[in-house]
Amino acid sequence: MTRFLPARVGIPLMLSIAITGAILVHAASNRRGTPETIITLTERELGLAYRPPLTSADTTELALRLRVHHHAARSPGQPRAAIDEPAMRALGFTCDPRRDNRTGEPRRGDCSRELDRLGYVVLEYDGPAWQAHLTALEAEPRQDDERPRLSDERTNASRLLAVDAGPDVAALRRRYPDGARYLILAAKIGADVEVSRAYGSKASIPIAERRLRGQVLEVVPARINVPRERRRFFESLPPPQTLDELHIVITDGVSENLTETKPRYELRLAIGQRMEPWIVDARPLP
Amino acid sequence: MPRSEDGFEQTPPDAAPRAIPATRLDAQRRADRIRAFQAELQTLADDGALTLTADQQDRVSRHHDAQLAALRQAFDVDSDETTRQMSRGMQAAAFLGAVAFSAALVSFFSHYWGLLSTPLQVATVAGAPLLALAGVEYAARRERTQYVASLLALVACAAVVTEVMILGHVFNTRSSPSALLGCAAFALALGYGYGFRLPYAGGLLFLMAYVSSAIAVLRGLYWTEGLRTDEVLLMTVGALLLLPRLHARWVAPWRAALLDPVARGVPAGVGLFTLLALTINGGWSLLPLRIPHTALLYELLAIPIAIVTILVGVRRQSQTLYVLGVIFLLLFLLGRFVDWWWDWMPSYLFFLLLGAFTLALLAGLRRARRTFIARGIA
Repeated sequence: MTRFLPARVGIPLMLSIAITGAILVHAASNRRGTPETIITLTERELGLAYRPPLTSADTTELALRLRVHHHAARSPGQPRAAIDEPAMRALGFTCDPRRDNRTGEPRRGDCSRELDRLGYVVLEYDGPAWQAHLTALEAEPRQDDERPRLSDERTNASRLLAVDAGPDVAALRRRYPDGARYLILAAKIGADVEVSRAYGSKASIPIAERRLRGQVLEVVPARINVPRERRRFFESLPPPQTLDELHIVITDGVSENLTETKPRYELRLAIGQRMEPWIVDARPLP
Repeated sequence: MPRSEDGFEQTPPDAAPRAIPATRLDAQRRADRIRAFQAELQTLADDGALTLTADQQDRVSRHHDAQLAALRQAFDVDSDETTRQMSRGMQAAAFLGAVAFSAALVSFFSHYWGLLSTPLQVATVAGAPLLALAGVEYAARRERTQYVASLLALVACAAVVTEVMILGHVFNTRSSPSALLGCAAFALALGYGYGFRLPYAGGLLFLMAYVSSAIAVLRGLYWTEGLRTDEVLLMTVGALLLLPRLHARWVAPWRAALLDPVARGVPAGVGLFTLLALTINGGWSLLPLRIPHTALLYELLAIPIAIVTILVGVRRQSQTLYVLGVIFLLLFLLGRFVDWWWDWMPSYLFFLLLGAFTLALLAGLRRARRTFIARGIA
């Protein structure tokens, strides 16, 4: 180091430049070549990220959040777990859901104590899993006050459902080759024991019927930055409908949404070589 | 500029006289010793125990005045208790200033973020640490007390952390332990180069988080699982506790004297905190034992480890280790007492017993102190 750039400042300076360079090289390598997938999603799956009221006035940052439908994966009575036991074993989960633990004392090897693992999750968009979820939901006996929820599910909920997971992207892509329907992203996956509505609680499930299943705790990254050149599009969108505009009618204490809300836009999302997404383009929906 | 054996420049600049200590800390200690000597000499004279001749008094006084003037010139040392208190106030102000500047930096990015194109966003966040570094070097060359330089060093560290986070958001990258390694390397290099303790402490914390997270990734876990308090973290702490030995071998003495308390204190603090957490919840442990047995094992280890930490602190004259050991012991025992007694004992009796225990602990420490004095250790 020279007199003008002594080691005490030169080394941190070079480190700072190296950190910037490493991030830029990483980002460039993700977007190099043909994207792994380009998929078209709507506002239902990629809504504007929530900003806390305290910070929204002081920030110009705009981002979208990928919404994975978790309810379907957790809802009782599903024909199979979204991430089933073989997939969980392939990810390295070793806990035994069939182990008898009548004492209730927390023990090593219990699925509730298993640490979360990194894996790749297959997200199906508006496919058979979504239809099966709707069918199962409609078939369930329900009270009148649950009807708005069903309507909301049909028109507003995300249609992205986790259907499989594994440690190897290439193997998953071979199994789900349709890139327009199946999105593969990295995820934080946790272990759980499958719950059936036939039993009141996990503790009462017969041991033989307990199944290890996975739940997508977080897709990474779930937050997708809106660059400045796309910002104008999102700012020009009509404001989302308010409760008044939705013509909510309350009859005998039961609220009902008579107007279906519609997604305001659809966009194409690309997934790069490192399984990290970016927005390709966006257009308004009629 | 003179160089130490580790290749870094020594502070202060080479204009300082040879008899002047190398760091402000040593210079302040020397000034304190001179003032203590002068006060004691006056007491001896007042008691009639020792009276120097006028010539001797004059020579000693002139020597000390010259020394103090040189120390003030080189390091702006505190000349009395009043200026010392003011210096502490300035240190606190510098820290708060660093926090405020860092918050301003983050808020600035947040406020103008969406209005900048991607290249400009990258240039802005990448330029902030470089600008802060230039400020650190400029202030360090001009300022003897280093308050502004240390403030800017903290801002530079905050700028790097912000850069890593913001660029991750811009390019939608997956979070990973590599970001922790980058922040650790920068903070350690900055803290080491200038002898600033807070960036060095931050760098050590980042390094421990990185090692634990990287090991979690190797085990196939999600990287944040590595931030749990378990044996992997304890092993990382154990490895870092060897750092003062490396300092003694490879680092200039003035720098080692500055950074050793941090290199001991930060890993020891994290290690004791981890141990405390494992005594509370044995389920976090990786040991192949039943969870209650694991907690019991760590409970049995806690008191000997606390006593060893206190003894090492006393023997090595490390106030940091001593205080950490005592705090850990008190927190551990408080937790145990609550576990054992709170449910079946009236609260007044519980607190009475707690007070009695504190008195017993005081008596034990006093006895240990007497023993050390008798052996001439402390």
